[in-house]
Amino acid sequence: MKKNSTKSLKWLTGAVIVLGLLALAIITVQSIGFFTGTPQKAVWIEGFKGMQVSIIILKLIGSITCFSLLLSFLFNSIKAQKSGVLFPRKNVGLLFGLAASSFITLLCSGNMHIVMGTRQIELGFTELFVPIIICIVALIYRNAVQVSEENSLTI
Amino acid sequence: MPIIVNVDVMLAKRKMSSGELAEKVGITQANLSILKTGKAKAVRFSTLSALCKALNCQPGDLLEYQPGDEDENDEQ
Repeated sequence: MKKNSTKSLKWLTGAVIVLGLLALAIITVQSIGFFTGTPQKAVWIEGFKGMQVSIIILKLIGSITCFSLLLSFLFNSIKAQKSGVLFPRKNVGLLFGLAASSFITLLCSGNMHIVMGTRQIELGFTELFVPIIICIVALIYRNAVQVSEENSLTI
Repeated sequence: MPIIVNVDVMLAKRKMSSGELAEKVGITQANLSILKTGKAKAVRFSTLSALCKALNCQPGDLLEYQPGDEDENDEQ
């Protein structure tokens, strides 16, 4: 079972690397394109330009942060499993960081229409619930870390 | 932790070394050290009975309760 879960984690890490790099490449090209006009130029609105630029930059930075945190989480898990630890403590912080960065990224993604000239800020179901679910997972993970550490101190 | 493990005292009374006890009980010296230094969070009944058998004593000889020595982690 332990071998299988390590194998699954390795596959998942591979999939995250491939899909993440692909998504990052698309987001980067799209972000640069808003300024250069290829493939699509942003529709700049006077008085809103600062917000529009912030949305583009925050989405790019948030995506890179999410990708890095997710990769670190997966690498930590694989490394910890090899040394016999199921729940490494440093993954708790990574999960909370992932919740925060996913909120920013999703908020910016959901409001990309502002960059195209719409003056309407939206806060949807996904933007709120995905970070909340990650936070809940992080809290459960923190408890699992404590139980795991106590278990290792049971003689 | 308000529970004190008196393995050291019993080892001295029985004139036995830590290594010998660890071998008899079937635990590592590192785990015996965790037990002796009070870092252990719990003791399995199987370990306790093996300790009692090896040291020829009762669980009460090994464990002692000291009120007022609460661990911060216990309140979490």
